[in-house]
Amino acid sequence: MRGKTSKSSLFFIELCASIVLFLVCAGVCVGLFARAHRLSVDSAGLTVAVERATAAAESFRAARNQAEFCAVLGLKEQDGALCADYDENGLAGDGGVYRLTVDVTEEAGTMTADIRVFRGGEELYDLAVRRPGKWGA
Amino acid sequence: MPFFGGSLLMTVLLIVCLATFAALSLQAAGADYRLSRRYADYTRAYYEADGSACLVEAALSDFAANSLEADDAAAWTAVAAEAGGEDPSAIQGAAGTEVSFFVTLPGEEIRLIVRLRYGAEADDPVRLAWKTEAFGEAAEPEDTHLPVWTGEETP
Repeated sequence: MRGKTSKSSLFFIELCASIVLFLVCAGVCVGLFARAHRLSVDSAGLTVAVERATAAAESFRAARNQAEFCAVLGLKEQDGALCADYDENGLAGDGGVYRLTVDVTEEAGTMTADIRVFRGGEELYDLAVRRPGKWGA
Repeated sequence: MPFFGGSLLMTVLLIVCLATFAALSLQAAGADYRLSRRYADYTRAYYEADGSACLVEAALSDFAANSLEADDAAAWTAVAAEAGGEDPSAIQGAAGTEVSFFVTLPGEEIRLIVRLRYGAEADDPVRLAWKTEAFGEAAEPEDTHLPVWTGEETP
């Protein structure tokens, strides 16, 4: 009877040790998984932001006038800046996850577009693009 | 009497599996992020060089429209160099003046090669070349040569 009790208590101690060990290691591993997930989300966000900024840059270089540039990217004037919203797949639509803003300036016979992509208010990427000449009417 | 039983052994095995998957997923996510960062940096460097090339083009267009020295190849070269074009050269022919220069992408072993032709009448230049080219170590292709029998030595 005494041997049986001793065996049960040993098993109980081992079980407790296993649970504690598992909890500690699982905590560390969950942290690693969370970090990997965060990196993955950041990486996807950066790629979409670069892709959107590049599309805007090429549209800026190719457009003949501002109306054409805005029509291609779905840009709307908001608080003095040109803005457009995009969803996770980069499709234009109001209230999207990503926000593209473009600020166009003219200097020394060239035009410069300051392109920025935001997600939830946080700036993901910015790109300055220049093109020779000026837009037509 | 063994130091630990089956349940602890199973737990250790489970932890090893969990840790391996966690490390692998972190490593893969890190590699993805580094690739995204590299793409983002390259894109920024390209548009920076492209912007510099646009400034040179604008300076040359201004020179073509307003200068009386447009028939002097050295003057074209000087304008391109002053505007930031690297290793500029100008050739004058019947079709007009061809100006070549390049701009190095910041932080990359890549340069943007630009070749423009300014005709006698046209205000805007014709872009004959606007392309990137690797130089230095990046330009050296990997040795993928596969030796094949050319028929010179018969067995």
